[in-house]
Amino acid sequence: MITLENASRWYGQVIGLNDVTCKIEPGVTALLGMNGAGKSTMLRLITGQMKPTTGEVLVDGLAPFANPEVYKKLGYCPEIDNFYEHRTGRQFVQMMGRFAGYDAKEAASRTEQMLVLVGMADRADKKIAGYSKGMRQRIKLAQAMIHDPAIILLDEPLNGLDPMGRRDYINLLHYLAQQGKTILVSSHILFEVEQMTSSILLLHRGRLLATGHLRVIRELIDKHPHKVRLETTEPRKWAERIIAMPFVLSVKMDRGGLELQTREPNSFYDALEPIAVGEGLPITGFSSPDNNLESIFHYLVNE
Amino acid sequence: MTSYVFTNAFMEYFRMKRLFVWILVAIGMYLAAHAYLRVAGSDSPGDSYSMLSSLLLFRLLPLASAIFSSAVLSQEIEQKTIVYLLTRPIPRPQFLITRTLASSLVVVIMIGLSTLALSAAVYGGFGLKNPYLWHDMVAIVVGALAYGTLFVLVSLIVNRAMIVCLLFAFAWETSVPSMGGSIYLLSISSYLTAIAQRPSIDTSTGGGPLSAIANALGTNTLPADTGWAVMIGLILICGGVGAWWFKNNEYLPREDAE
Repeated sequence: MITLENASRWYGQVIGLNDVTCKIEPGVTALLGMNGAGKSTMLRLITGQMKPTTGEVLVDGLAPFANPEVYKKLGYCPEIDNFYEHRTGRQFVQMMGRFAGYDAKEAASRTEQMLVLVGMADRADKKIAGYSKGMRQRIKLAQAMIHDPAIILLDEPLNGLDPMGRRDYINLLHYLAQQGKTILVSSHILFEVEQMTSSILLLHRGRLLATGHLRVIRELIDKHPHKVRLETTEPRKWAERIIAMPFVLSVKMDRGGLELQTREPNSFYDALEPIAVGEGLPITGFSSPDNNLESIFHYLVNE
Repeated sequence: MTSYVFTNAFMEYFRMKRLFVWILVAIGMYLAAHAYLRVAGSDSPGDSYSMLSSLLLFRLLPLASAIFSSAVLSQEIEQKTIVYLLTRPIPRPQFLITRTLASSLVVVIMIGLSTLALSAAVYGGFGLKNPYLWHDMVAIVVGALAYGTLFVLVSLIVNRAMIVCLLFAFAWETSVPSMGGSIYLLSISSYLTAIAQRPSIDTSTGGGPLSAIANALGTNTLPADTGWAVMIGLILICGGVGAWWFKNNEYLPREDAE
């Protein structure tokens, strides 16, 4: 289990993490926050790369900074995309296995298992310099898992993965969680997080804004008028139909479509289809500007 | 695990790309020695070797140490690969000392190669008849460790340490040993010269200004015992302080802090 007790971290005059208290239990937990929210700082504190300025960070009851006992049970997949480019993926993972304390034979055997698990067995003998972003992500995951750690920390692991790769990666996380591992995944994309887990830690400007079930966040969103943007070649006709709907609060037209606010997004979405299909009104695009983290934080901090 | 950390670091530093440069340096050393012998034919082999060794080998040693010491930690920080190494179950002091030893060994091999080339040029054959060869080899081993631990300590404390180390290697180590009074005692090179115990060059029989410079750089009145005591002390202090510092301070990939 990972415990943070009033943990803060300052970078000179700038605060990276501000008085965070939380516990992270086995299973997948998402660390959600915009860029600069303090996600990487929190991961660096947990991985013992940094010390908290005040407060305490414990991994299974041990302070992680430069503590080999902690590193035996912790696997870390950093956000950075840097490697020993002249090495092959296999050599790199095997090297990490040797650093974890395995002899050459055991490290080679574990490397093979990990490469199969992350889907890189057939490409692992090429030099890392020639790897795509997705292949690099997989190799990073393999090196993090080589010593079968009980705790796995993944910093923005889905960056650069194609849809198939993301699906495989998320399935792998679920599999690992079923094995009883504690997995902490950082991300700034709500949609990504929803596919991985419903347990979240929400960071904003270094502070922990919310913890618990993702439903809490959803409910917070739904308390506010929900913005929807409709791209269409017939904005005037659509506006006539939409403004008549009782759950629509406002409609704003522009050249490419219209933007509206509704208190009942689900009812609104249900009402769209009959109009589009029955009356033949075109929709060329559809988006919800509210369905991103920035809007959520906007609501949460009442800005 | 320590043996793997050592082997891994050694193989990393001893890659063909790097080795190739130092083979070229050794060949350059051989050719430079031949060229010098043609010009100053009257010098005894001992004087010629002593002069070339002071002028070239013991200038090259801190330079090689500065380059390879940066690979111990600074390079990993610059390349951001430090994060993989510091999240492994290896005690930090053990990690640092082992990698410093590996880099020092590479320096000894590279400079040893140049020493042999120089000796071969002056004494012919493989240069093994050179009576000062083994003294110089011992001084090179001690020097590689002394410069190595000092430069690693600097790289732990100072950002962009390579510039500081190169300045030390070129400016400090070249000028300080020839300074008057007892200021020469502040140079590692002075103690290495004491350990090597090369003779003073007889400038009355020729050799010109090069011999005078070499004398200024390469000889002093320090006894070998003092050289040994100071160098061992320096290695232990720099190594110990470095290990302690590394254990208690944060090392993050450069330009990566939020």
